[in-house]
Amino acid sequence: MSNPVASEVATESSSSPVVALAIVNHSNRPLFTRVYEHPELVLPSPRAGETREHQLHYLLFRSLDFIPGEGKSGREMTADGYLGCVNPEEPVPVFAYVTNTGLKILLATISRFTSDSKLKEVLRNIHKIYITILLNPFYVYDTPVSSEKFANKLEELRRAVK
Amino acid sequence: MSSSRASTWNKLGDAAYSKSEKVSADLVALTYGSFVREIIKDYEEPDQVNKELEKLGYNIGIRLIEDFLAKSGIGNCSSFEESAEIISRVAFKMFLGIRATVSNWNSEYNSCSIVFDENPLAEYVELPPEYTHSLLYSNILCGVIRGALEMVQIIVECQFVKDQLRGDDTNEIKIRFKEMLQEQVPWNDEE
Repeated sequence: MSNPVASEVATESSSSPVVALAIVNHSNRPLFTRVYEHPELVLPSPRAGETREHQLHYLLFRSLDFIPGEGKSGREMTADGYLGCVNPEEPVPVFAYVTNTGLKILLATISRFTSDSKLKEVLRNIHKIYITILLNPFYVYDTPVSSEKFANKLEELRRAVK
Repeated sequence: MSSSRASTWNKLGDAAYSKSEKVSADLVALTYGSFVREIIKDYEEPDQVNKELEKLGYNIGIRLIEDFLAKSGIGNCSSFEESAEIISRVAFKMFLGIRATVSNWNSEYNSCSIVFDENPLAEYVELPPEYTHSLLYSNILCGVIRGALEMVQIIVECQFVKDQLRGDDTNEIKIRFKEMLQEQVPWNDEE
């Protein structure tokens, strides 16, 4: 059964460098994705039928390749799951945060210079907000998140990143 | 309602609350949430679910009253008005950790509202659209109040009239006094 992932392009542009974000479960199924406008974002020209939204989604999910699976030894990781930038070779950096349950939070920004500690905090806060969704008895575990409140809270977080 | 009596009850409520053992609020919220989900699976129709929640609350209320009277040290209530104040200032504080207030008395003083703007049972809840206007998520509380009062010979009807989960600014339970029982009636657990 496939449910469409709640995903939208936010039409309001703001100065936040965050251009895309995704929450992905342990089997790499997306639970929430959203892309945002930013005037300085430069992407290669899209192929036929591809929108910028598709390109950003693809960028985020490609970066999952760089995240080691659970249980693999030799993984270098800070105690709290923040992995930093996982795709150093690419023009649009993606930052990742993983948890022991295999939940991954991905965030793409337009520049590499947003403070690392600020991004760590943002990712951690996204995690906290996702936890409140999990505690909603009507939310079915491991399904796409369709709550407007959730999207709005993430929007607030995103705007706080300069 | 004189404010000195109100503050006496507030203090009683605070004292009873501080003496009680605490549990994790998240645990309560999650447990109640799973509980409601199961009832929904069993009964499906929101009206049926609401009735069932009320019934389960009733079964809690008929027992809880003893615990409440013992721990709060409250003796006899002289009137329905007093009972309503005690429920909101003492009982709500003791069992839910929140302060509720009584308002909207009608002219005959047999109907009022208990108003509270925090609801620990519904802490993380977002009702899906199909239930937003039909499910009374915290209806167990109405049953608890009805059951507890019945054990002290006061028969009431309780109903949620405002619920923050539905977008209202606060939560409000309307209590309507029906009658006073003159003699002890044996209660049936299997109602």
